[in-house]
Amino acid sequence: MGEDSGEVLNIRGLRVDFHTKRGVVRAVRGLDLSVRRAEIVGVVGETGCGKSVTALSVLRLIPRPGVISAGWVMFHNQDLLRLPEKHLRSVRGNRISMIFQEPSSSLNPVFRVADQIAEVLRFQVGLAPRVARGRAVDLMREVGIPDADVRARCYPHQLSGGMNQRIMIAMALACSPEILIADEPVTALDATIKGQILSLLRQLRDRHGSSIVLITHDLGIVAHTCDRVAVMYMGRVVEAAPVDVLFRWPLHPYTRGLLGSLPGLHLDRSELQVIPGSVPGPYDLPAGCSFHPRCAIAGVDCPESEPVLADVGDGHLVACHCDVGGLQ
Amino acid sequence: MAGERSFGSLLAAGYRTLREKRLAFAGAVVIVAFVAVGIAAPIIAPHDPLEIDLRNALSVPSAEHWFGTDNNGRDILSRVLYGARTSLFVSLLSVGCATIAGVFIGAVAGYYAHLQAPLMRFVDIVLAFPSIMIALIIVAVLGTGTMNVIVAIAVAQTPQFARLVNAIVLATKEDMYVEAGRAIGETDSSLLWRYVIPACVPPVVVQISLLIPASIMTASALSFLGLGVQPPNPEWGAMLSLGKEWMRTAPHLMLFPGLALMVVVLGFNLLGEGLRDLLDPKLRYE
Repeated sequence: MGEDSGEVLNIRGLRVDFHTKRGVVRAVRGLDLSVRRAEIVGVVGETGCGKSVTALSVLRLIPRPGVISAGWVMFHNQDLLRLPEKHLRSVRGNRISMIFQEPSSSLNPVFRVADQIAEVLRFQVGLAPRVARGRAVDLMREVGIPDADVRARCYPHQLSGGMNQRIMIAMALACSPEILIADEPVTALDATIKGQILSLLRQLRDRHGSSIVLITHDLGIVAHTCDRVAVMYMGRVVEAAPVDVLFRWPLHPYTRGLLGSLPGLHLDRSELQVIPGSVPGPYDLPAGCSFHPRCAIAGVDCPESEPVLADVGDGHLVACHCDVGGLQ
Repeated sequence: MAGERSFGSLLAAGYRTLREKRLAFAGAVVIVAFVAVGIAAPIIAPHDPLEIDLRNALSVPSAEHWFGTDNNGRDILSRVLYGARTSLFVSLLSVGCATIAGVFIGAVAGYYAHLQAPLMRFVDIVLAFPSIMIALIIVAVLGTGTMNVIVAIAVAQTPQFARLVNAIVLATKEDMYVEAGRAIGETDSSLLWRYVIPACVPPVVVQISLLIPASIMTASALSFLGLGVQPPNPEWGAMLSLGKEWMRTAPHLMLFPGLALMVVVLGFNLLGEGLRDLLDPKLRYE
């Protein structure tokens, strides 16, 4: 693995712990994920499964009391988790950018939007203020903001959520990053704007060749936007595959349950299925495979040891003790 | 949407708010008059405030001496006007120093978690004493005089700014846009000064407008006790202190400096309330 297979980002064995008064919450427990060049990877899972924490760990932005306790985040043969803070700052916003869920609260309320985009260009690329400002307006045009000259002088509170998310994207793209991490970028937006922002992301990938990590809990967004998808459960990736493969042949019982709970995507059925039980609390993880108490096909091995992610063919990875590969 | 909010438009909005709020407007008028008198005292004062004329001692208000004269025959109107100059100088300088020091301490303690406990516990200790007492202790140590009064008031007021700014910084540094700033590679100092501290400006402005009258009062109280501005320099508190000896026979010695003090402090308080309404973020974005 590494450069030759076109991987730009390779996360291996990532563990993130939150030390709280009630005990240690293991938010991410040995997560493996790789991202290839110009690929849109979806990361799906329910609330609290560690999607956002994973995204934040890549740039070491985990807030206290979170601690990255193990793992590697390999980016061009350097481990971002062990890079000195000073060098990491030149990666943030420059080679790896992030956009967040709440666009309106992710912008600095006291500066004009164009100045905030220009700031990235001045800081990371070293452009002169006037040049940076002109480039900022160009970027605003590129992300589809009408009347960019006028909007450039607005403050974030004067623009809508969709507009602000475009500003965030323009900021994230200012330095043509190799990787864009989008943490629930459209969750706070309404349906029409959602579609526009997602196709904007695809266009930008096609134009700049950036890789995108799209974090979401919406399988519809994944099907529409992503090339590959990783399904997370309780801080681990349980299944990863190209999008069409995963939707056609889901292997992990959790993925099958998720897809089974969606109204008519591919399968003909009259009734929606539910996954029995509910997500365990963060302080009392089940032993072994964390999904086994809810799993219909759990066997004797399942409470004993945690299954590892294994390739069952064609880049389809699944972490399950049962011989789910045979289902294909 | 589009209309931008420049400094000019902020001033215009401020003017509109003042017009709507009569009391705040009255306060603003008083303060403008106070500042103007403070600056122009040497020009508008009819007499030298230090000139002694014992033949005219304790004379009542007249055409020659509008506010009368004190026991040394000094013109009280001139001394009240020069007193405004002293109060303006002392209050602006002391609150200015307290603002700078307080914002710095509060912001650094709030932003850098490991400095929070040592800095803010010290601030809490200082806050536990009444500010007049802190000022008294400092003057007792440093000695009397105008500059020492300024230092004393600045030290006494710094914790109030520190606590206010600390609370805002603690809340603001968790905001999404600060995290987003970190994600684009901003340094800690840039995050602190360009992202977090601007959020503190409105409350700090209100606090300044409320602490200026407090510092005028404290300075006058120190001078009243003989620990502040020293005679024969004209200062309202010192004039009150002197006047109390002749309170029964010549009440105008206390009346005029007392009125001046009251009107100026009231003016600042009225304006401070108006400013709070103006800078309230909930009203701001309308």
